[in-house]
Amino acid sequence: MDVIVEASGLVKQYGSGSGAVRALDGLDLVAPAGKVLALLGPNGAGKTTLVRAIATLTRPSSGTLTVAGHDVLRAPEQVRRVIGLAGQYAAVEPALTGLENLRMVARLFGHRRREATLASERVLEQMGLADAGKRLVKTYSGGMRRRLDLGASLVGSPQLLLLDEPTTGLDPRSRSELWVAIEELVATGTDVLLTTQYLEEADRLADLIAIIDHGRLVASGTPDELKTQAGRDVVDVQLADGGDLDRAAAMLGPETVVDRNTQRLTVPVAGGADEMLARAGALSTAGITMTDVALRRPTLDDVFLALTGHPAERDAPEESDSGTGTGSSSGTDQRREMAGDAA
Amino acid sequence: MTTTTPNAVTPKAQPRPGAPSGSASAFTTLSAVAIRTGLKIARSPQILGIAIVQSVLFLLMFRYVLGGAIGVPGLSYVDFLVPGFVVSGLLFTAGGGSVAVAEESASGLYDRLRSLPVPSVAVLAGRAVTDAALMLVVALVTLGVGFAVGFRTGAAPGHWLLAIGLLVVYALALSGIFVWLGLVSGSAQAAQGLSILAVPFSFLSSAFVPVETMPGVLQAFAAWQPLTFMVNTWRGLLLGDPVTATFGHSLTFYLVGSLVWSAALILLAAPLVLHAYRKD
Ligand SMILES: Nc1ncnc2c1ncn2[C@@H]1O[C@H](COP(=O)(O)OP(=O)(O)OP(=O)(O)O)[C@@H](O)[C@H]1O
Ligand SMILES: [Mg+2]
Repeated sequence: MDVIVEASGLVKQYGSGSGAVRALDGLDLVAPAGKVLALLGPNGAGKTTLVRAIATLTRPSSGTLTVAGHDVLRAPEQVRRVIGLAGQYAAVEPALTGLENLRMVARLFGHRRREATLASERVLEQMGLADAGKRLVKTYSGGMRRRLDLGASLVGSPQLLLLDEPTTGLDPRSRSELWVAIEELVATGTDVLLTTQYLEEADRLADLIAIIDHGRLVASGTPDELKTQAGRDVVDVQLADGGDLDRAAAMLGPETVVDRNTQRLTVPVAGGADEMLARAGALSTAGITMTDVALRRPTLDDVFLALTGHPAERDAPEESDSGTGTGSSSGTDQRREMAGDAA
Repeated sequence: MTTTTPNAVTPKAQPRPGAPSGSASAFTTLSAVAIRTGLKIARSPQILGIAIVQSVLFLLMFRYVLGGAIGVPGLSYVDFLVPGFVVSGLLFTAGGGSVAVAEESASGLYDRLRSLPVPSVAVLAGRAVTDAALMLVVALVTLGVGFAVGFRTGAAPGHWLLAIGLLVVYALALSGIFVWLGLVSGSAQAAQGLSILAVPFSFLSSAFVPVETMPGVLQAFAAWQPLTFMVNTWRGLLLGDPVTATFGHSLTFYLVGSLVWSAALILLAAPLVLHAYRKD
């Protein structure tokens, strides 16, 4: 098995003394070539830090990190020949056209003048921006900018694409368009390492998922392996009356997850359909009315919850603010924060 | 992760289809970045427009509002002012470059550039060269307005040529420092604030008043700081003997001094800029 990225005991510490933050805290990770690897983790898990370390933007404090066999500290030039980076925020110039943006990056990737134009046009086509290529980027929508940024990362046909939250801040339609674009790239043999907070995205795009939290690898495997690892099936119970939630939760036991908005209870069960029927029967006997009861295989959501102790971001970005609260606001606001942090 | 990978590619074996054949040279990098920055400036006429309006307004204020109250021995104030204003104006235009650098830094552009296999020095030099070009354009327009408001010179073509050549050198030397300010400022607003430093820096020089009129410590600073060397060189070249006679030193002294200062500024800025650019 060829390995494209290998991290071992990787540590990145910011600051020192009592104010020190370990963004990466002994991370071990192996990303095989020829696969799409999704790094999944909540805000502050260390996803961006890992991507930046792979892209040679951040120097690890200790541990080793190699990309296509090249050590990021000893041979950063070699690493840069292998990668294409689309960072967490679209780094495109609004005052230039899409084509001009791409052409500069293509030149810097090492394309000759003519090749650069051809490669840029090909990428615009690939990203569905052929018609917009001659327009100034300031007239683009957020989704178009994001696609252009992705295009810029691949205009040099790098072996490994690094995509940091490629779809954050996009509406569902732009998101699925970007997914299609990424899938097409993968089909051409590009290795992809992407980060995401969305389980759905990881499930859809990734061959392999690595869940990281607090700068460490918590679990890894194929989406199916991870779901199996979470083990037991889950029962969803939908109540007719929200007033019954607490009573029902108490009856179902301490592992129950309560969603007050949807009046839904979720509990892992070991005994399959029999246990589901028994549980539902008990609730019914206690006079609790259910509108729906279902037994299902665990989703990555359940896996995530089981492994990290907190829920992942679920749906579209605009709904996620109420979730974990930090940093998942609009891209612009977050960029401001980042700019401040960099000072 | 134990899955086998039937379609795995050997990392270094075959070149990927569509991959570039070589890598970008330092010159290619510099010019690609400079062209990009130049296009951006050309597309936003307000960048150049505001810089010129600002420069011309200040020139008119000095010429007509303050000028009457400032006496310069052996010389009309407009002749004294215009060379000083053109050279010190480089600093004011350069502040706009700092702001742009801070914006680009926050936008993630430099993350992308740093992830590419190109020499960092060339990226930054590309930026500095474009900033210097903008500084020159504004300086030359200001010089033109200077003529319109009464500046006169009998300088020989050779002196003119030298003066313009030196202006290019000064602009390049100063732009590095301002790129650095943009990188370390952290935000466009902060960069804007930092670039206000150009004001005390130009007032504490021979640009607007003769340094002899300043009190002790300030005079010592003003007499030896780079801008004074640059300004006095320009005055000496364009105005000739009547001016050089009023200098404490010869024209050659200022000319050599201004070149030494330019070299020193570049040598100082280069490592600072590289360090700030490569920061985590
Ligand atoms: N330059 C920095 N200085 C100090 N601390 C930092 C810096 N960059 C990141 N951190 C900290 O390191 C931790 C990991 O940050 P990172 O950006 O890698 O998280 P993430 O998984 O990408 O989160 P998100 O989903 O919000 O993008 C956070 O606690 C963050 O505050
Ligand atoms: Mg991140």
